[in-house]
Amino acid sequence: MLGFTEMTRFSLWTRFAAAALILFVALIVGSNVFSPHVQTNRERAQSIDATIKCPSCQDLSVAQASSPSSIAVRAQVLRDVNKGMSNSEVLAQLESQYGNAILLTPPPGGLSAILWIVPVLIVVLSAAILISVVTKRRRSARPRGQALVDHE
Amino acid sequence: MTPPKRVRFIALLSGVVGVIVVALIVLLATRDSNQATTFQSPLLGRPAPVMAGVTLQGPVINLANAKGHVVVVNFFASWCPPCQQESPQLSAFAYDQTKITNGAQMLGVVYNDSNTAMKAFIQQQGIGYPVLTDPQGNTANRWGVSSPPTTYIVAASGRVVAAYVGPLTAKQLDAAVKPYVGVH
Repeated sequence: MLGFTEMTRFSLWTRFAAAALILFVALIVGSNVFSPHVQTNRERAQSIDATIKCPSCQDLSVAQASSPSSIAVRAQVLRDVNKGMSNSEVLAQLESQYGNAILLTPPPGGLSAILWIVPVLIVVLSAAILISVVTKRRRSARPRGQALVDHE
Repeated sequence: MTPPKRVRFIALLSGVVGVIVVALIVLLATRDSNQATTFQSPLLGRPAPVMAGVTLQGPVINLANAKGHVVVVNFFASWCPPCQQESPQLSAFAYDQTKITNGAQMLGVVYNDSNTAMKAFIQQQGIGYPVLTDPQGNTANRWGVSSPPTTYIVAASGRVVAAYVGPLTAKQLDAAVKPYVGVH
C-alpha cells in the first residue's frame, strides 16, 4: 500500500502529466498540423512576387512596387501559376527574359562573387601583413631589452 | 624572408595595389556614361518575342510580319533625358535607311509613359517611324526591358542579334545593322 507522502507525490506527477498533455494537445491543435492551410494560386504568386526585383526600381520587389513594369511581372507570375507552373519554372521563365538580375537574391557567382570576395581578401591580406610586421618588430626589439637587463 | 626583402615585398605590393586603384579611378572618371553600351540580354540569339499592337500613329503593327527585314526596336519614354538625346539620331538613322535597298526599319515602343505625353513628344521631335503603345507594360516585360532607352536589333531571320542600353547615335546604329542589312 502507498503511504500518504507517496500518494501526494503520485498525484502531483499525475497533475503535471495531465497539464503537459493538455498543453501538448493545445499546441498541436493550434499549429494546424492536422489541417494544413492549402496555399491558393494567388498566395503562391504573391510569395513568388516577393522574391522578384522590380525591373524599373531600386531594391524593391514586384510585390512592393507599383510601377507598370512590376504590374506586368505580377500579372505574368499569376498567369504562370494558374497554368500550373512550379515556382522554379515561373522564376526560370522570368530569368529567360531579364537574366538573373530579376531575382532579389541572384545566385552567387560571376562579377557579384568578385565584389564580395575582393574586399574580404584585402582585409585578410592587410591583417596578415600587419601581424607579420608587428611580430617581426617585437622579435627584433626583444634582444635589445634583454641586453639592458643584463647590464643592470 | 629577410627584413630588406620583406620591406621590398611590402613596397612592391603597395605599388601594385596603388596602380590598380589609380587605373580604376582613371577608367571610371574618363568613361563616357552618356553613351549606349551593349548588354548580355537573355534574348540574344533567340527569336524575337511577340510584339504586336496599335501604334500611336494609328495602324496596327506586328513584328512577325517584318520577317525578311532588319528591325531596330527602341523602348523609350518622353520623360527620359537619354531618350530625348538619342531621338534626333534615331530619326536620322531611320531616314538614312529608307535610302538603302531593304534597309533596316525603325520601331519605337512606349515604355512607362502616357500616350498623351508620348504623342506630344513625337510631334515635338518629329519622329516619323511607327511607335507601338504598351499600356500594360506587357511588351516591355516580354523583352526584359528594365530602363529606357533600351534598343534591340532583330535580324531578317527574326532573331535578336544585339541589345543596347543608353542613348545610341546614328553612326553606332549604322555600324550595328550593317552586317545584317541585305543579308537573308
